Amino acid sequence: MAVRKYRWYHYAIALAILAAGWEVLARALDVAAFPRLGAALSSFIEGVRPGGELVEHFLASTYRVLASTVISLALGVPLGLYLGRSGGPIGAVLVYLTYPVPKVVFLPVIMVLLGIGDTSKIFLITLIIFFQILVTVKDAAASVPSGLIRSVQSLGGGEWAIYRHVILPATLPAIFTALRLSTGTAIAVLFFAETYATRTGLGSFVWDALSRLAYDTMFAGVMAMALMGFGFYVLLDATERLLCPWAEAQR
Amino acid sequence: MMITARHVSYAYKETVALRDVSFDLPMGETLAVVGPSGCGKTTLLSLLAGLLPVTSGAIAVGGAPVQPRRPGTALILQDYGLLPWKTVRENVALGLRIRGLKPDGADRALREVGLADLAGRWPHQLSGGQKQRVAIARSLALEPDLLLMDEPFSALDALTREEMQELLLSIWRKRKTSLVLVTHSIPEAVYLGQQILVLTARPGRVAGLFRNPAVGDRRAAAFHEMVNRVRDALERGVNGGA
Repeated sequence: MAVRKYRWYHYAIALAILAAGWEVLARALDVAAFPRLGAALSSFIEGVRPGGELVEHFLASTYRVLASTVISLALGVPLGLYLGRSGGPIGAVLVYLTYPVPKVVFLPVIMVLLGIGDTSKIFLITLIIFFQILVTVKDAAASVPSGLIRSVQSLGGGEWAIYRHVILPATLPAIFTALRLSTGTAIAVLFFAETYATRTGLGSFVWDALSRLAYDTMFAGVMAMALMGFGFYVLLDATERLLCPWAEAQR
Repeated sequence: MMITARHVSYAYKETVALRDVSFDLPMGETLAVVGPSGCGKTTLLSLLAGLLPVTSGAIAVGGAPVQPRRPGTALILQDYGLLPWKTVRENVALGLRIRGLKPDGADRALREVGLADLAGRWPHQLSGGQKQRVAIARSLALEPDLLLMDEPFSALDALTREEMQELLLSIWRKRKTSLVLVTHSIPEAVYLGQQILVLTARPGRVAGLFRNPAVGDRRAAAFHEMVNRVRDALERGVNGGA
């Protein structure tokens, strides 16, 4: 469960493997739709220069993913903790009935109700990753060892103390696992949500480049998306080390 | 009287766990409860802590009918119950925090069990005996007048076990906290219990209630004599002769 600490050369080696794989594949395929690494990279560097257009799209997308994640956490964690600890079977059935519903089908409704701006995109992403967080947290909260709960009760603790001192900290590593999973999902949904009715965001950038058959530019956008996801993972790892020091010491 | 138990019985659904158990524990004294496994020793402790309601009979603790979450009662569970995400100091301070008190007593309690140096460690970095000391310190921090312990040393090796018994005895001599200790070890009961309550196999009834003059002296002749008396009572209780 503990997060390992990465060194700079871990990143360097992983990047080298990725770059080599890309280049080998690009040369082997030799099609316009899959450009050489150098071409995509120069397009990327072009885009991220001061005033480059990638920066603006990157920030728009990051804002949407970040906002969705924060809202999903704020709603999913308390509700998941409650359902896992105190929720009855009806709550569980409700979750399992609604979790598999493809939320993307609500996009038209969301756009009618919330417009085509940031709000509707954030709402759609939130709707999807909220459930990932909810289900993970609920199951983790339900499987907390009962001995620890008895231990807090034996010290005179009531329900609040049990949540505060046992359920929440016991569930914290699972919350981080849920966040790692939902970061990938959020970016995938973001791409979908940004492909129409907007001119901002990496999804829109990639889609626009694709329609112009500007493949170098398109892959520059894809790189930016990967970079955004990577940034979230690094941030999550650092936060987990900060909030779960006991897991760090267990290594 | 710290505890007055009169004709206490407890049944869960069809199963009778305890039947007609009576004893008195004067203020500041110790009582050891021994019996075969499944005789309702732990049930008795839960009744004394107010975590379970008696089916019939009556228990008074500190002069009042037993109630859950009595501030002066501290219960130490078999598996230590330390929270892995709290340091030793925070585990010891937990009871104080839950009661909305300042955690000042935590360090004093840790010194009392000889663990002041390990206050910053995590529970998984401790040995079994050290974890047990933390669990004791956590209860002591609450300044209890009644300490209830459920087979506290059963998971420890023989040497650590005797060390912990001596520690407990010295704490008791200093604090004069009333103490009820459930154990399946006869020598432990005789080493620590001024009174020894022997229970029969399930349903647990009183197979013997002894005054023990040999507390704290493993080498005395009276100690071995008491061990034998308790063993006789225990065997009669197991064989259903009682």
